[in-house]
Amino acid sequence: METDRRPLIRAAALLCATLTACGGTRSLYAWGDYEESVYAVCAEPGAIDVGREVERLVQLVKASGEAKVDVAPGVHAHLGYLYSLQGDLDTATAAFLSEKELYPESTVFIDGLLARIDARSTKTQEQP
Amino acid sequence: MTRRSALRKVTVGGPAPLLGGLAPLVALVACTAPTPRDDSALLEHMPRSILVLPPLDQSLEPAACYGTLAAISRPLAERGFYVFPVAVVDMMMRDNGLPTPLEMHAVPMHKLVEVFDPDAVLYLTVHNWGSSFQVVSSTTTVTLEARLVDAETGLDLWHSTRTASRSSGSGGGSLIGLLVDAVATQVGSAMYDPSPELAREAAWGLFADSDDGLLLGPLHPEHAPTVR
Repeated sequence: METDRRPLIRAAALLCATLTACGGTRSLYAWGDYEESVYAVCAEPGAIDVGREVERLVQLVKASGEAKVDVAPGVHAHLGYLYSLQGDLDTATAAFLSEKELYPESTVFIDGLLARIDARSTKTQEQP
Repeated sequence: MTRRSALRKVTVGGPAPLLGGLAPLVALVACTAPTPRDDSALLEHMPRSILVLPPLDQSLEPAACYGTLAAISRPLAERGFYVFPVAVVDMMMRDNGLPTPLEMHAVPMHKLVEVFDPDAVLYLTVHNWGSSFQVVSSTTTVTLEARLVDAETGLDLWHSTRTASRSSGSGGGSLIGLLVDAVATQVGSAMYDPSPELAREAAWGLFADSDDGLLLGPLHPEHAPTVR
């Protein structure tokens, strides 16, 4: 006589699902190397390899697109800051606008950064 | 006002009949659980966006400040809040004549609101960072304290402290074995410092703790006014 194991299996599956839900390991956002980049930028601002940091973050933005997960709060702005260090103000502006579009909570801050960039590019244009 | 009444509707309209059946269980749990913290200020001024200032460092370890700053955005944002880009904020403040966290923490709230427009500001302090060595073991400890302040009213919304630590060399064995173990760990520690990892652990614990953690914020899909 074969015993019906389905209830047991169902119970085990339920337990699994509960444990996973409680574990809360699902991430809302793509983080990539953002945390490492924060450390690199802040700890030794004079010694950072800006190109390397840009590459890390570009990689993260790309991966988030492929995984269809939002880029974490602050990532686009961080990238914009790195572009501005490289003097690439157009790309910096685009990155800052991405932050604002994805997270309107940043609007006042980003508008301030954009105004600084405008002031900087005007100044550069005035120079011969 | 509309937001508050909408929130209340969610709480009141909950599964009351179901809760009735669970009442004995709830009573049992209530007896053993610690006193729930008062979240009324946080609920009333629930922020969407949080400005994290670089932490004050009482450990005097050079890596503590930025090791902590690097570890904080992720667990906080994953609770459902917009977290301003911490490195950009830090560099911008430094460029504007605020060289250290001490000066940054002293900036008046209205000025922070003018530049960043956050709903709340998170003030952090690092109390411990690093290893203390005893004869046969070493312990690495990171202690973080966090205070969330409402940007509009200046009210304290939430406050918590969390320690993460790891001991090594305390395994069983002879005294000689322990000594060898401790020396190995201490030599090894010169190359590997577990502090950044512990900072991450402390930061996650700080915000996600089931008793003292931060309520889920508006950007979290499971955000509800009574969920911790």
